[in-house]
Amino acid sequence: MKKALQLLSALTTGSAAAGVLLLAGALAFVLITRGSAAISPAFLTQETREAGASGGILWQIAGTLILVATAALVALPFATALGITRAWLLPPQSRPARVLGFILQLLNAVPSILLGILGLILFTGMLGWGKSWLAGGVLLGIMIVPTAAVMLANRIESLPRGQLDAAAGLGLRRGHIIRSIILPQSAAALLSGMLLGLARAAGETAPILFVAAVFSGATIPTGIHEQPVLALPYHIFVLAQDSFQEASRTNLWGAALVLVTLVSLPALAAIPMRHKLHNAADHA
Amino acid sequence: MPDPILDIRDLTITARRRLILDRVSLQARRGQVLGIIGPSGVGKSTLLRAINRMLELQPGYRVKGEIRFHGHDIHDADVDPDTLRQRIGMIFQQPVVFPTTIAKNVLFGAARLRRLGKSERAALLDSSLREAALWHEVKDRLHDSALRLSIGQQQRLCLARALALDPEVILMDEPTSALDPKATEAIEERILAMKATRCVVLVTHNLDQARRVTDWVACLCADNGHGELRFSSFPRDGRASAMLSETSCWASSTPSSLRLFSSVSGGRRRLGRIAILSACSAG
Ligand SMILES: Nc1ncnc2c1ncn2[C@@H]1O[C@H](COP(=O)(O)OP(=O)(O)OP(=O)(O)O)[C@@H](O)[C@H]1O
Ligand SMILES: [Mg+2]
Repeated sequence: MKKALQLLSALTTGSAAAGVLLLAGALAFVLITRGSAAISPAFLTQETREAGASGGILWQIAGTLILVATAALVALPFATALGITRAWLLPPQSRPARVLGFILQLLNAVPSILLGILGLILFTGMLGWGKSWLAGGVLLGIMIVPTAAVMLANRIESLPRGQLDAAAGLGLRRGHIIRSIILPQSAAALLSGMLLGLARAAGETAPILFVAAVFSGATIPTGIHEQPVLALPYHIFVLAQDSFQEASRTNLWGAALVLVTLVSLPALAAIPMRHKLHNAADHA
Repeated sequence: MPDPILDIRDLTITARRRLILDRVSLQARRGQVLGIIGPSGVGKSTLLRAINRMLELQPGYRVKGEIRFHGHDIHDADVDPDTLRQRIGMIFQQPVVFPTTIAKNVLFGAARLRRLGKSERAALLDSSLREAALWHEVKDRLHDSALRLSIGQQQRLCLARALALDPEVILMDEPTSALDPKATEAIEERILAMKATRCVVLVTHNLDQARRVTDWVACLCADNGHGELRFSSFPRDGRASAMLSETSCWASSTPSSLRLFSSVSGGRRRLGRIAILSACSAG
């Protein structure tokens, strides 16, 4: 019986892993076979021409980077504060801590199109920003906060209790303990959460659709009011919807390949860094 | 006799409606080592954590009664718990060193709580490590990782870290129970040296240790399912020796702690028992 169960669980795990690998492999295969024809130095450094049928995606790359960087800057302080509050400032397992955990889950579950509409009402309408990169960055940032905050909180909860006690026993204040124990030892988890969230946010179309992205006619923003950007996911979205030319199709896949590469590069780069950070922290 | 630095009056502690300590009264004076003994689970650690208000860092505890530090109740509204903890240092059962260098460990509290110049740092490092009797062992590797020290050295490092804040009271919660005899001797010797200028409250399971280093010993018992002060006296007094050896105090511990007898702290417990028996036969 036990043997059979073990076998069953091994089979499920194995087939799940194989399924995921297969899916990822198939995606990579499609992306590379269809997209690589478009990739060239010119594609990366020129602006779009003929509605995507020729030219490159320079400003879409720039716009996506601007949105993602803004999102990261917006999300980092909030994710840090919420994670520390959830896991440490509020008494563990207390009602406020549980409520905050629930709110973070709820925020994570808000459909991105809803965020986009909220942004339209708040930033474009009430604040009068029009279409602005900042609105897009803030909305994407809001999307990242729960992922990063929850990963940070989980790590803080697993920190050795003794160190926090020892620091408190020295009369260190909360701010001291946060800076000298909690943050250094959970920075890697925060980083993972941020990257995970950013990778997802970078590919989102819905939140930037109404408030931040246009298909053409924008470069680097110089202010906030009516300063939209081009963005890779929006570019792909429009090409997929409207283009019937072969050249546009190829460029669509090229843009998708660039987007996937852009979001996976930092995640890959972070693996050795995370390893180092965790190693240092776990020696405690 | 000088006024007590710590004057605990009718201290009652409950955790989630469960009574842990019932009306405990104790005094500790400068130049004195106050020993606290009692069976496992009687509330010794809880008592220590109440004295420097670490208890309130975890939810669920209620403290009644007074803990007077220099005559002031530490629960008064104008007492800042962080400042209190700087003046009442604490050493735990397991040494906790931070994953950084030896020097940074020693100054971990001091450097964050005060502005220290370069020469002040060096002087503080020197004096704290000397008072913890660790200076000669680490003076050539102050910037090495503290994690490479032996457990006994780590415990003295924790002591140096607490001493760097120049506390008036040092609370020690079974500071030697994780250490071998030689490292234990070093800590005991430090306790005796420290009491010249400070007041030490030492929780111990080791009756011999209590006889060796304490000036006054309080025995907590759990006869009624919660901790109470059974007696307090001079540890080397004949009557006290007999009382200390009175096994009912140990045997009446709660069932959960009886299980501990045979598991984790089995070795330590047996030592305790042997001490009791030998004291009995000697008396
Ligand atoms: N948060 C809590 N809720 C309920 N009971 C608690 C809580 N904290 C401690 N206790 C109980 O209080 C009692 C005293 O615990 P404490 O750790 O102070 O004992 P101790 O005398 O230090 O024991 P030991 O010698 O094993 O260290 C124990 O019976 C423990 O189960
Ligand atoms: Mg204890």
